[in-house]
Amino acid sequence: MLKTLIKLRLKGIFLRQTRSSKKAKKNIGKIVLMVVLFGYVGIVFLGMFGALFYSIVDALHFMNIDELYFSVMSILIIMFCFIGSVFLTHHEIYEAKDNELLLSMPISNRDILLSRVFTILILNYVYEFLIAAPALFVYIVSVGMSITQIIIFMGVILTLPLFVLALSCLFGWLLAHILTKVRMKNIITIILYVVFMFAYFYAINSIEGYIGWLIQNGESLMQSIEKGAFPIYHLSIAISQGHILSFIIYLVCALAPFILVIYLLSTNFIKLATTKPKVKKIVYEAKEMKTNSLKKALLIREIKHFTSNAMVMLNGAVGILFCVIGAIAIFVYKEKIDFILLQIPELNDMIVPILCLIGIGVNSMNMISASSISLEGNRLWIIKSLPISTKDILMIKLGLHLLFCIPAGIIFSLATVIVFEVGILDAILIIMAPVLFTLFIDLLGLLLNLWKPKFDWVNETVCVKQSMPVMLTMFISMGLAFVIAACYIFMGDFIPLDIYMYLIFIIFIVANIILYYMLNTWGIKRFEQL
Amino acid sequence: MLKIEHLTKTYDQYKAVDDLSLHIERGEIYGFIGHNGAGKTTTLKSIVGILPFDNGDIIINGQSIKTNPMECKKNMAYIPDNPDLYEYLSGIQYLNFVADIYHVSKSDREARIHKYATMLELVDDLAQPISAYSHGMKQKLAVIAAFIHEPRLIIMDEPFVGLDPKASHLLKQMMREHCDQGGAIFFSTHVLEVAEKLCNRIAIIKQGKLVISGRTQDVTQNESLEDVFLELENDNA
Repeated sequence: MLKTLIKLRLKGIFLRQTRSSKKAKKNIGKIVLMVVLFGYVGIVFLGMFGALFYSIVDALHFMNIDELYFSVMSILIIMFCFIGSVFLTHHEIYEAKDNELLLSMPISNRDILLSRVFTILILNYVYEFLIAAPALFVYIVSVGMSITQIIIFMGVILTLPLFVLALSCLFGWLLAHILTKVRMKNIITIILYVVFMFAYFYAINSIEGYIGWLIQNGESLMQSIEKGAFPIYHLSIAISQGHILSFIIYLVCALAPFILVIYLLSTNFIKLATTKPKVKKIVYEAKEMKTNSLKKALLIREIKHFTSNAMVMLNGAVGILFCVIGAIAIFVYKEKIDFILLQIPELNDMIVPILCLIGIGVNSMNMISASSISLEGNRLWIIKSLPISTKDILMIKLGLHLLFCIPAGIIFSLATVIVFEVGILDAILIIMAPVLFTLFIDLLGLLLNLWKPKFDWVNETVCVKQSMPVMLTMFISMGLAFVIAACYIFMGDFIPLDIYMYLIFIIFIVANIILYYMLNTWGIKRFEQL
Repeated sequence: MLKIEHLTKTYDQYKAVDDLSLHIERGEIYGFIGHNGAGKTTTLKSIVGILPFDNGDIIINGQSIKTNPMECKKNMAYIPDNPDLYEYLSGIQYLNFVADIYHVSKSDREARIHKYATMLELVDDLAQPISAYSHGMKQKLAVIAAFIHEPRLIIMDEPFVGLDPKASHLLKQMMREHCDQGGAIFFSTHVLEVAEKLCNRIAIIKQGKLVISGRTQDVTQNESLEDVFLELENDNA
């Protein structure tokens, strides 16, 4: 039975990625696109971690503290897997939609639980691979490994995600417990997500700084790990010295929490899966009703929908957060920025294009419109059967993206304009660049979503995280910022910077006009066919 | 009120509805019967403008849904087989949204919401989010939303599914009143006893084709609708 359940879940994950909403056949184009997208992300991470391990391996080996190399690897794996899977664990174990259906069948609780755990484990192994593969490769090439060491390494790789899973199950349980008790679920989720995200970015950005510190304080750090992180110490000793006893001690430390957590979860699974949060009933009291125009009613509906789910907000509009935080940071770090400009005076001549590009980069993280059609889901019948013109529906969806993203973009641009004290014409350009870009991404996302909508989701998070229009919009928008910068590097000798910048503005204006025209022609027809 | 002329709808190679023609007049409750997958829902969704179709036309109050969908939709309401509503809104917010779309005045919407919500015993729950509603409560809300702008034509897909006996009885009463006031209702159902008692006319569809249609007593003659339906199913098997 466990095998069947695991097969079913894997099939579900695979089909979610490779089949379009209405067609039963596998979509070859979608498979290729997914392979390219995931391949790109994989190569970036493999390269990044490879570079990190390459920068520390020789120094640590020279100082005869190779075990620290594997401590760093295992800490990174634990962090990466935990941050990457904690929300999925919460969703898969505590909020799965098919819990009641499966519990009504003659399937043991343990099998249901293990099949879910297996899904999370696969994700953890993928995350782990991105760190462990470059770590192993770099170590073998630079230092070399015996057969025993490689076998122990493989043993660690197979078992470390089990330990992480125990941690994320525990955290997921705490999260589920907190979320059933608080009223402002969305705010708590957003705060937690932002904290995790900034912790992650901070860790990634600080790696360079830590490497030097790591090498300088290697020995004392290893002593701290021995005292404070006992299992990691034995894991590191086991791999670096091929020490069998340390490997056994590590195995006990990694497997015991996993077995305990699985035991506790399986004995409490029915309670966990079927307990519904107590909702305080609000009794309706008739009040004077307000009337709204058709467009205002549609906009209110879109706003209420968008703000009803923290994951939809975070995945669709994290750029807004970056804009606001970025605007504050520019004022806070004003002195540092002035110092950099003083050190590199050439930057002063390029400040307007750089600020335009930063504005574009920050706003490229907003993709509200790219999932707005898919999010209608099986409720699409409502707006399609009501007397609303398709143009109004699409314009309001377009408007929602602009309503949320433009003000945040302007706040960021205004902050840069004030701090860098640019002239009026330059200020207009700095403000207009993200506005034009936001409109471009808005139109592009909506058109892509009309082209490939996904209506058969069971959870809105799937729609905003894993649908093709969202991924395409994300890669195109983020890629464009790089393309604009890269093109100048190649064309800089032939075109002056200010002319290049005006050219980019003109390209965006023309592209926006073309996309708007497409939305009003092809887009309307396409929506009516859905 | 509603004319379906040679309606044909195909999905890839499969003909879901094949050259279907029906006329529904004012004051009529028209029952639409057929086995699962016969093409009932496809027909109903085509009428309300959710699904585009390949051939034929649908005329509502003299306007074609193909060329003038907005005018058609203003005179119509739809209750689907599965009331998937906006779970992020409360019941009252959803009703106000629908009322806003149909430009229902403040006083009219207050009166109608009060009337129908009281009748269906949903008043106390109107402030609750729809996500907290049971299937039956959602169905009741969809019914109120359909009646809020006093449409001339109401299209219903299995409207009694999920309703408790009292609510079913009240809905039948509302349907009868609506038609007595000059409106029309076209609805699909698998509950043949209800169709037999409630409908002025009945149409039976099989594999996308109309098998029989006409006044209920003409279709059933001296038999029960169930016997007629089963005979037709077996005849054409």
